Amino acid sequence: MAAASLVLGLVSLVLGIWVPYIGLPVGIVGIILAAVAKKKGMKGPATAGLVLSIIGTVLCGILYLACVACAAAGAAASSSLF
Amino acid sequence: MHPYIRIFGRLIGTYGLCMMIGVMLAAFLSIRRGKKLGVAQEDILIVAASAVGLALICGSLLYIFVTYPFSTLIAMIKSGDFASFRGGIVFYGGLIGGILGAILGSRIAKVRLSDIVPAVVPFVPLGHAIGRVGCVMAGCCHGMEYDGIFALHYPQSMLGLNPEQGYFPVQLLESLMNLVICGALLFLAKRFRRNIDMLFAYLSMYALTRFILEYFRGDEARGIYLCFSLSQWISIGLMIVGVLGICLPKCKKNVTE
Repeated sequence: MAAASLVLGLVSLVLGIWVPYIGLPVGIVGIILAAVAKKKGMKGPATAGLVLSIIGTVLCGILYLACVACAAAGAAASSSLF
Repeated sequence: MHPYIRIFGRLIGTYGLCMMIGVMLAAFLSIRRGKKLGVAQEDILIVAASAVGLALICGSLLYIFVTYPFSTLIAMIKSGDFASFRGGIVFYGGLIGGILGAILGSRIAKVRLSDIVPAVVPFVPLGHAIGRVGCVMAGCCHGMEYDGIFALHYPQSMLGLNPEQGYFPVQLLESLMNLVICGALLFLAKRFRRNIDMLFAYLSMYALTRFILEYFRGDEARGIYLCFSLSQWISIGLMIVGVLGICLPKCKKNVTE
């Protein structure tokens, strides 16, 4: 579980640059797996997975939410013309 | 106002930046408060991550159902043509999804949700307050036209608003009210009979605030049903849930006695 969170954290960091809407749920699942692993006493890899997943989630969150806001505003602007 | 800023030469959307700052600050303060209340950091992380994940999904789904008629969605799915499809997030969808996610997270962490509530719920309005500043920066939602004191002007906005026109600072007012709700929840924390009452109190306070502030919003794309907007109808429902959640157990106890 700790190794899985480490992998998911790395994946969300990499995916965050190109496809943040996939990287975001991957990072969130990584955080959950890392926290469950830490609860079970797995420290080292779980902590590394947690840190990477949090960074990946934050990065994807910033990029994804910025895109969503642009898209929503664009749709509202075009609909308000009619 | 400033939909984007430059950090180390890269353009970063201020909406997403403010949202993530709000989420991170709320999570940090929740973990700190959780330590004082004897709640494990890992349990808060699991519940918070589940809540944020489902909040984003449900907030996006509610936006889609409010924005696109059902027939349009079916036509898009049948044709496979999503060129005109645009995403978005509605806070109430996020709130309801967040509560469902928190319930799921508490099952995964094998803890009672009521044990997590006193650590996390007071900081939800704090995170929301910071997120609303992102709305002002992006200009993606705004107040009604207004030229009085504290009127906001949007020289740059995602909606292409007239920079000469002033707008009511409804998002900043909502931020301020969220900070008041955060303070009230922390002040009243020890006075709640049950831990879960804090969640019902937050729902009631925010729903009342949002119901009133809806009258000062100017973005018509949200949809009006009978005489209220969708958010006002949801506010009415949440106020009923909040008040009943606090009062019903008290009434049952009085009847039993």
